[in-house]
Amino acid sequence: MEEELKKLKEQSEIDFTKIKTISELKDFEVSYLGRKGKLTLLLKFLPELTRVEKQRLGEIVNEFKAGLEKKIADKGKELRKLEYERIVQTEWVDVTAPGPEIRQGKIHPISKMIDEICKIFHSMGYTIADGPEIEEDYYNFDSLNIPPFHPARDTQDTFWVDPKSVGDRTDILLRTQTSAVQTRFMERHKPPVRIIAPGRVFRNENEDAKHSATFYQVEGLLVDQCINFENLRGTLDIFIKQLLGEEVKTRFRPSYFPFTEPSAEMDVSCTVCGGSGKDSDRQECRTCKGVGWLEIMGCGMVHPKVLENVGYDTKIFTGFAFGVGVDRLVILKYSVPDIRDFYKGDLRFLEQF
Amino acid sequence: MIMKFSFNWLKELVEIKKSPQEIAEMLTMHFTEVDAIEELGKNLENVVVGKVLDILPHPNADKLKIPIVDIGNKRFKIVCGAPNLESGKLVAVALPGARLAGGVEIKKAEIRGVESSGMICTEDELGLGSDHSGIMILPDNLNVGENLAKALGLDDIIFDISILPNRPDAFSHLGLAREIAAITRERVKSTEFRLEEGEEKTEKFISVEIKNPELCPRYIARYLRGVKIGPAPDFIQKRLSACGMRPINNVVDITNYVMLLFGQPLHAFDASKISGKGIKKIIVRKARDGEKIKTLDNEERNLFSDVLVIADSSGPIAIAGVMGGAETEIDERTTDVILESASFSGPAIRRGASKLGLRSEAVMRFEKNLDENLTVIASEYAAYLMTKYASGEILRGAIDVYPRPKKPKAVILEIPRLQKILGIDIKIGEASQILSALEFEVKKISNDILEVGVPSFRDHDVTREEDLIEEVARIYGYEKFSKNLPYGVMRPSEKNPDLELEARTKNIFTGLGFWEVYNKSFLGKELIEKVGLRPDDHIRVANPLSLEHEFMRTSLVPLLLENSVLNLKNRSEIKLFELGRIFEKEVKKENWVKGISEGIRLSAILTKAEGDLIYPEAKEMLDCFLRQIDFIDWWYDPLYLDSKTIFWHKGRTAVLKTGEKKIGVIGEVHPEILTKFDINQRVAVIDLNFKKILDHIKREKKIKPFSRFQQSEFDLAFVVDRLTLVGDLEKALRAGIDPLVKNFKVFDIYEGAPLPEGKKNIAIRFELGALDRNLNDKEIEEVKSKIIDLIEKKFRAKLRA
Repeated sequence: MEEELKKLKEQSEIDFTKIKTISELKDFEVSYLGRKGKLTLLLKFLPELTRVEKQRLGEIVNEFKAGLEKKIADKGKELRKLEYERIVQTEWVDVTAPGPEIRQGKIHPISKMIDEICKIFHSMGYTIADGPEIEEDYYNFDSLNIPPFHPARDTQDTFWVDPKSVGDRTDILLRTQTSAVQTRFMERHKPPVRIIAPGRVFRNENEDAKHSATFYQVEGLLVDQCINFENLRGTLDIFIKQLLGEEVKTRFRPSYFPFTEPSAEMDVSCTVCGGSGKDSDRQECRTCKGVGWLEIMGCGMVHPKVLENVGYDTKIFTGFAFGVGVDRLVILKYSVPDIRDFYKGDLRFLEQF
Repeated sequence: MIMKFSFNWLKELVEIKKSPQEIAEMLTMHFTEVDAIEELGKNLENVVVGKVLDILPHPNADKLKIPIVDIGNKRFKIVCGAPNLESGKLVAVALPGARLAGGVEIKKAEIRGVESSGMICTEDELGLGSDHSGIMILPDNLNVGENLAKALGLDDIIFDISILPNRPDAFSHLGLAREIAAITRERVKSTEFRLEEGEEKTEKFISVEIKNPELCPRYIARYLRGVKIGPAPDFIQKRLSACGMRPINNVVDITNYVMLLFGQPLHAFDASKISGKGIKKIIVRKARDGEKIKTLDNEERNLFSDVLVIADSSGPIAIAGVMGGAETEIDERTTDVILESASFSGPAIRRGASKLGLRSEAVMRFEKNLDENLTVIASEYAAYLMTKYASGEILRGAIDVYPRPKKPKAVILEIPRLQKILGIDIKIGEASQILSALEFEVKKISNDILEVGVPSFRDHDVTREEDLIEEVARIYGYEKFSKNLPYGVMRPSEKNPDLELEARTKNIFTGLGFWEVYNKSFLGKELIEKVGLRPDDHIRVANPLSLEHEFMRTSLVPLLLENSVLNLKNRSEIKLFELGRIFEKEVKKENWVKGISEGIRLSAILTKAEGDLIYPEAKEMLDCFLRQIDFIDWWYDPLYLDSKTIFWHKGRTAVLKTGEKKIGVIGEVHPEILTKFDINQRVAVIDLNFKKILDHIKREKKIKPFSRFQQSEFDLAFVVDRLTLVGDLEKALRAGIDPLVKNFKVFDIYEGAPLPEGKKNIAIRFELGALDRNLNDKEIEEVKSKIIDLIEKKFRAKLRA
């Protein structure tokens, strides 16, 4: 028996060196330690031995068996490592190649800009309000201190609705400004008021790369006690910095709107040349025409007449209002060459945003 | 409205120590933006006045000539091919070194073997006009050899300024000079002149009657006789040209000159052409319907009753404040002139002019309500210039009809109010100084209250305290204000669920592969009819841009179809959506505007390049969307095959409903419509009423306990009639099923062999489970047989083994 054990050990060492794969290792394990394995079979004779022999051989067998198990485990680890290495080597794919196509769309650049604007004002406590696109003269003009034949109507050529379409009313129009939302909102709400109203507006003018008869505005209105012109400057300055970047400068200069007094136009430092007026070739910047500033929004302190029209006490309440052209902001941000492309649904244009 | 201002002229009216650029910047920051600064003579360096002494033929070319030109200190030959070359005329000569408007640089050159020492220029080469038919012939009175810019009065700088509509007083050089004076704290120089009237009285020759004083508050007429018509003096012609007006003759040019100076449009009539014997009567009245007038531009115009006219005893001789009549026009034989200086109601002029489709320098000013008192100085100064430069004799006195003279106005300015609105600590002294600089009469009536007399030329514009506050603020300088955020009670902004859902919807649809588009709100009759809608159901725009923009959309779908056509030209299939307003005539409902229902639609379109069925994909996407937004139990009601639709493919269209409420339509587009649009693939459209979606969203959700035990599953397949609706089957299952069934889903529908004709196979997977235990086989079998029983009985179905 002792002889046989010795032979078996030598044989096992020879067999072990031949193992190349996991499955060969498995076979080896079974052939020695399995239920019908060589060592297992040999051990069946153990009870037939004398007590002394039993003790002596038992030790040898146990040592042999333990050694074999350890060798198998170690070899297993080593082989598995090799196997994983082989898998990752052979399973190489071109990670730069495209995967199966997943098509996704995007929201319209104007939607995106409106979202950004509304988020900034929402965070400052403004409520989002809206009104109709087909509007009454009263809300679009009269209530905003623009009576019929007021010259300010000149600058806003208006589309009128055919009276035959609306029960012979001659005062129905396509709103020319989101300011129309001001009166509608204030009629239904007591001050204080803090609203932002994005929406589509219309002007009856011939279209070209710079003019579209359809475009978007965002109107803002804040009415409260103790609101002043400096607050307007502060609010719009913060807004522009949030929207266009901290480095952008703003300036206020006089303007005229019938529904604000004092009125102002806000300019921002040119987003292309940074306000220098010169492009990278030291030529006149084409975006700001060398001025360094871009006209971006009209604003002012709400005219007391507008507040009186909705029954607010102008002794207590003052407010400011502003309106910004959304298309123009998108055009500046992305250097859009032709405003009409916003309303054509052409994917060659939309996909670029 | 843009007006051109001559910097040289402004310098005559106010002391200017700064450069044009600095003045422009100050005007921009304190008054209104200067749109452009134009250097008139910019391209005229080395261009001089030359006199053609003689013309020699060119030895080598028939079409070319060789004029000999005198430029004062020198004579030389120039090669020239202009047809209007004439000996003795003054011409513009570009000398070597000149750089012309078009960028051409002049050098000495040899042309066909003859040396040419410069170029004789056309108007357009000089940038002075558009004429290039021949060389520019200059007026005879210019100095030979003088720089052309100087000779023509073009050594000037022009400001283009769009004067704000509330400031008609600044549509004039005097008005702008006033602003410059206030900003730079200088004083405006007054225009000094002495009008010497003759002995004979004006009223012996003319009388004036105003029939509608509300439309014509003041009318001043003067009479000149012995006038000699000729060219206006040089300085007037230069001023007019610099401001973009063409000189005509001395009388007309003087009226325009005075307008550019004071802002008051004037009109001169040839007195001999006005009807009436003895004292000629001028009447200001409304036109009568049917009356006609031939205006100065030689157009015959029909008048309406809301047009104001100046008339004599036989009819209209001018459209008041708009344009004169051709029949009483000044011409070279005119000797007696009636000079009109009047003020008209702005709205009336605007209305009349827009009805007649006429714009003029006069309309531009009158429609903004001019100062009634401006008529006096304008009339006197024009008369003075006419006596001086048209040799006229002015008769004694003016006919001045001014039935309701206006009273001086004063406005109270409380400094605390100013500080409240501006947020800045401007002291009473400073406010008072600023207002005085703007020619307001300021009186301090207490420590913080001013009584401010409004000058006559500003009293239409400045009527209340806020107007004065703006004056103080802008002259003080907007840039000096700090940027402070408002103080106030912090309140959360109100939520706007509509807009929140709009944003979510856009995100879901883009995630599903759709691109958002914005289409216009307009469409034309042709497109409306192309999709089977009726133009009569649409709200019409009275003054559309074009026929394609005549009607307001009642659906987003037609333009989405057009988008598809456009995009299918360069891609194989597309998915687009739009969320936008539609407009319908609606009498009953209470809307924003009575009679109009303004709705929000969510419409999507998708096309498929391969295969001939796209409906199921569209439906799956709609289901995805509705699940995402927690829409309340929806179902699809198939469009009846006998319905009248011509837009929808009625075999593949359903109405989306919740309960019995219609939310929208989903379906494939009718093949005939697709052919009309030249689309040769399948197209599905989802068209939803967004407001109704909003109304049916689960606002609350309760989470139910779920089984933590083993789930069981089994599949059942039934053979049913082809036209059996899966939707009905699902409805029946939902209604009559065992509580142990947790979920079921139709996962396959099959038609074709080996099934018999007219049949289809529907395979459904069921998931079972109980809250408190694992189910045993017996329980599962019981449920299974209940389901089989239900379906077989209700749908004449057969379980498929």
